[in-house]
Amino acid sequence: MTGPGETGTDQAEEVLRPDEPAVAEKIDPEAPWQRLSWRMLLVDPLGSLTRLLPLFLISLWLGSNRSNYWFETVVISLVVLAGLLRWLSTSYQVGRTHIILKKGFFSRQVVTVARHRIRSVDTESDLFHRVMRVSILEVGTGRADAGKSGAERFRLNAIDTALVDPLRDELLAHRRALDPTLSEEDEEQWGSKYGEDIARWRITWARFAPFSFIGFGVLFSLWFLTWQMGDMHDRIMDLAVVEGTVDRLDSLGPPWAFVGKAIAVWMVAGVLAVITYAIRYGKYALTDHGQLLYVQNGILRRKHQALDKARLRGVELRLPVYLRMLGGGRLEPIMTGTKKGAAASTLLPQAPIGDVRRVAIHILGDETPVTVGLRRHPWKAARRRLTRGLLPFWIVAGFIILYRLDSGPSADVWVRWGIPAALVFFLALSVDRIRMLGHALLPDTLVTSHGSWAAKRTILEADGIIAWTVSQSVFQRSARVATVSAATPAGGGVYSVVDMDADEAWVLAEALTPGITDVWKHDGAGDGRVSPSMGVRPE
Amino acid sequence: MPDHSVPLRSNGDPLVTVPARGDGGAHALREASPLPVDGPASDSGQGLLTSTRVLVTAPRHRIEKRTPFLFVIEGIWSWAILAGLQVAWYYWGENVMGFWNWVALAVTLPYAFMSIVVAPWWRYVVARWDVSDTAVCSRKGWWTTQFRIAPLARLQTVYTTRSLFERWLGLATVNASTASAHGTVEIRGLALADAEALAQHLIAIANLDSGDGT
Repeated sequence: MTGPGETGTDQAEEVLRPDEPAVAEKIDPEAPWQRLSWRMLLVDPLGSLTRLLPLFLISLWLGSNRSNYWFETVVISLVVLAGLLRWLSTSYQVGRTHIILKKGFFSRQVVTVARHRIRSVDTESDLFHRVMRVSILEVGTGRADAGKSGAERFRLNAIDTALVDPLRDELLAHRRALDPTLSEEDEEQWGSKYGEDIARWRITWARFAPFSFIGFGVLFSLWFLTWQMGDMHDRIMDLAVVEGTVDRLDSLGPPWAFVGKAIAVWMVAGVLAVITYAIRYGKYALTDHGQLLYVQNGILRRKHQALDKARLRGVELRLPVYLRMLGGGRLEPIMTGTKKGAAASTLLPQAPIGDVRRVAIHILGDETPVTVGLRRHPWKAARRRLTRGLLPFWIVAGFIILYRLDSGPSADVWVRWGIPAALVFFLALSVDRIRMLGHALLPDTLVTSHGSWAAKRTILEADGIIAWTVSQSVFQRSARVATVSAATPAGGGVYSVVDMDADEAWVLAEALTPGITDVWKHDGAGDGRVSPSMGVRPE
Repeated sequence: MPDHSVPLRSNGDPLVTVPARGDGGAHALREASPLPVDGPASDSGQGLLTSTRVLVTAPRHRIEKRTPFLFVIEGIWSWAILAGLQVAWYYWGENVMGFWNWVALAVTLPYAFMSIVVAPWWRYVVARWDVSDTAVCSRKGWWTTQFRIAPLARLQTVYTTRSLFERWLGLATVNASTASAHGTVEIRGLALADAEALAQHLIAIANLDSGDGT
């Protein structure tokens, strides 16, 4: 998070009270004060009310036969009033040296951002915003989102969409001036849109969508919703198409009826997945602007978000087996200071593996970590993949047998079909795990790959590693392998090399973080005492 | 504080397997393996990793002898809930030990035995910690042992915590936390005075103000 332009203690953005003298210095007397778009008054309550929708549904459902709706009226008028107050109390100014945002009705705050410290301008607009042609705009200074409180944000919610592009052009002019590849004609033609286009979404990428869990998530929430809506669930199940399919599948007999139903559910989920994927990632584009990567995506909810390369510690290629069989993958950034979960950005959604590799190479600026052949792990690590990979099989088989013991010969068909199917499935996954297992030690870079169902190849800069853990179970110890984990504040927090040669474990840590193993360099060591197996002597 | 002047050295640390490949014992330099022929372009660390050895010794300091009792109390606590659930199941199931009740019991018993009777002593045997001028490290776990080292330069905060059970036994936990939860070195089972001294020592030498530890 120590970006190049950030030195010492002076803050890029400051939150002040309006009567402090520091504010008066920064205000540009000639620049006009501007307000948010008045259309935000329509959008803002709508957005809040959608979030409160579950509450309304519950209250309507609980008191469905009553004549007074004072609860709903009070909530709606509060929401409208809050929006009005926010509109009245918010104003901003783009001055020569600073941009200034005044906000807050009850406690007034003034956020000032030095213009030369501005690094990015993010925009966001959901469906209501787009209908009303307004956008949310947020100015970033390279500081991590996670370390910022709401009061510190320079966030305009929301301004006229037509104003966004000119404002972004103006606010980022000083950064474009640093870019030597940008000529004057380019500047006139492109403005802040100037940048290298790395990847754009294609409709054909939607073929990967059924091979993800998006569709099942949507299907589950729809199913849940139909339960909430009284007899809707029964009505759907009674549709001629549904009933006919279920009957036809049931007539196939026990094992095939189950397989057929699973495939039918998957096909429904697949259609939903394609739609969801297209809505979420349609119009996706990744652009390189020197120090920043801009990610745009979404059809209903448009986002235009900057990823600061100074906070990037590596990338992760997600190659789950079901995507890999189709030649697909995903690309995730390993960044510090991003919020986890929904707000985290994806560099590339489900896309052809060639594109994933190309984008990863472009972002890292070096093709070695992406293409280098990985070192294989000892054969005992491969054996462990088999024994561990078959563990769920034993559990499944055990449950099937217990079920057979409990319910008698009617469950024989599950023993005959379920157990071999489970064996083949988990065996195939284990073999795939063996294929994916490996690591590479490059100068200042750790490359590690493991997994099958959730296989990934992680490329992590040594600079981003803050601690090392070597863990070893009793079985790993007898197989002479160990799992080495590099902890990092970025991304998922920890990235592991699974089951590498135990002798090499600390060498790997030492190579990437020189001096980490100095804890063992005690003076006067070497009195020749050799301990039993646990490395512990009775004192 | 445990005695610093007598370093305990052992080459049988579980993280290094003995006997080592090649001659000369676990800590000898291995004979150089043939370097990859096609040069550094495709080197994935083979040469460095196979020819270098890191001397691994057990950390010098052990934890308090009464810590296993802490582990026992904590172990009982969580298993008691599971046992309570099973008893409730038995009563709701019309006071009959059904087939699945027996299955659950057969799974619960050995695990409870391991975690209440075996694990606490095993954890005590494994648990060790050490601090040098540059790093703090700890070894913990039982079935799976974890050896963690965090450079002092990366520490963000150092604090001690005492749970209810720890207060009963006069113990404390020192957490040397980094920006990642997976890099936080946790040292359990120190006497209160030792824990405070260690925390003070770490705070003094870690220089927590400079940089943000990421």
